[in-house]
Amino acid sequence: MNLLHHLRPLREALAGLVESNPFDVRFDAILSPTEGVLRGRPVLLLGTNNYLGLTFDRTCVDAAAAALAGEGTGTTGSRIANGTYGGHDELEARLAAFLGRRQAMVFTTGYQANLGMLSSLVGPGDHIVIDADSHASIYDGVRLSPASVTRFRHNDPDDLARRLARLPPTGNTLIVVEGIYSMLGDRAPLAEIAALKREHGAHLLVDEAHSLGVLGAHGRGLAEEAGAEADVDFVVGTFSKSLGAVGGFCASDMEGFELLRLACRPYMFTASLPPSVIASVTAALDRMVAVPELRARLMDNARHLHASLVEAGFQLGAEPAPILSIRVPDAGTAIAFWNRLVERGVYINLALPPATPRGICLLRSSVSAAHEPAQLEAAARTIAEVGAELGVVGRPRRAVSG
Amino acid sequence: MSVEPVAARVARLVTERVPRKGAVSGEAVIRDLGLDSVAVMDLVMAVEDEFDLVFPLDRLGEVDTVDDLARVVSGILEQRTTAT
Repeated sequence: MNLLHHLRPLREALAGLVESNPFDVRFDAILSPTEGVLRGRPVLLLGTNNYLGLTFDRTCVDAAAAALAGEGTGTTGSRIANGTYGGHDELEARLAAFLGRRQAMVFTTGYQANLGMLSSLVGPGDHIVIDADSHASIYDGVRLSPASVTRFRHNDPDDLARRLARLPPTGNTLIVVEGIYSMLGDRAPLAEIAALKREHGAHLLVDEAHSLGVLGAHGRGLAEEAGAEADVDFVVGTFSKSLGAVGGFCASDMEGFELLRLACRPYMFTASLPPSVIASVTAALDRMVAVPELRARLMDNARHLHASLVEAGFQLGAEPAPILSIRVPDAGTAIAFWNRLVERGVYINLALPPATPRGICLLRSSVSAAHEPAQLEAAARTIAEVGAELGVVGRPRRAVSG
Repeated sequence: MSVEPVAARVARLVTERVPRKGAVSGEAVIRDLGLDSVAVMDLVMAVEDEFDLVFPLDRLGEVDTVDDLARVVSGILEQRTTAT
């Protein structure tokens, strides 16, 4: 039997996508935070999580280039084996200060930040309760944990309360939610969840991957926006979205947090971030703080595109947010929709079950502060045209306005 | 508590979630019933609500068939009875 026999259903699912596989996109070039070239055609990038548009920011690029020239291309090992560079220390201190926490730990990816924290924070006899729509990194992290893991219905505090009440009285409990959920762009009801956390004497971890630099008066995420920072014990986040690079972190006030550096295997047994990435992330954090207009522009753009798509008749997953997902009736329509958009110069994400909740098919867009209103208007017109051609929405009564 | 009523209730919960119509046998392998990984975890949530218990996700490793699921549920219920 073929070693990859267990992947036969995946092979069969991909068989129909030979000519154009939306999960194997190869860009010819990336020209800016909002423009690329795909299959020889210019495309608007509307599905890259580049929320603040900092990937080409001059300060960030220069900081990375200087670190690259000054400290080399990589650390060639973990911080346990090869030591910590000054940049790692500085970024951790800056992150902790920005989030108002005593400590922060930097990971090599956001995925590894969740893997590391969730596998190490709780022990045998403890409990983890996660939102059912959690990201794969949360699911994979809790699989590595010795604690008992259970799920609660997405964004449903009453369901969380029932499940917390069922837990045995022994052991610690960690509740895990996300600031903005990556598929639908909806936010956790954090004030209610924080109240349950207090009531049950639990701990709370919030993954702000999609909300750092996006929500809150200072960009500290959903916890800041919801006024719940004092109840959040662990803030996890990523550098690969609003901060425009790669990496992840966890920040906390927890006593003994530093012990995790010698207990957390996804931190210990992988190479640390290269100096150039650390430098660009540190510069991007500074830009995020210094230019709050980026956040305001991002939310203006999100409202703008949301209004255009709603006016065109699309069913969206949530209220205006940088992630706007259009529900499409089935996978075939979703794939056709995605292909026609690419042919007409709009790149967004295709999301199909089981990566999506409740079996829904989505065309997922993510807006950037770097988008010009005219780009979003053009994209909305194209999306509305294709939606009408495929019967997802009716023919527009009038042109989609800006 | 006997296994039978538990098995019948578990079978009902599975049947409600299977795309094709008709009763599901106890020997049926759950992953062959058209439920993806998320649907199986949603089934576990329904089982938790039906029996008012905690079904840790790692125990899904013990479950191939509908009967396996019922056995794990019965085990959790018995453990709880013993503990109280």
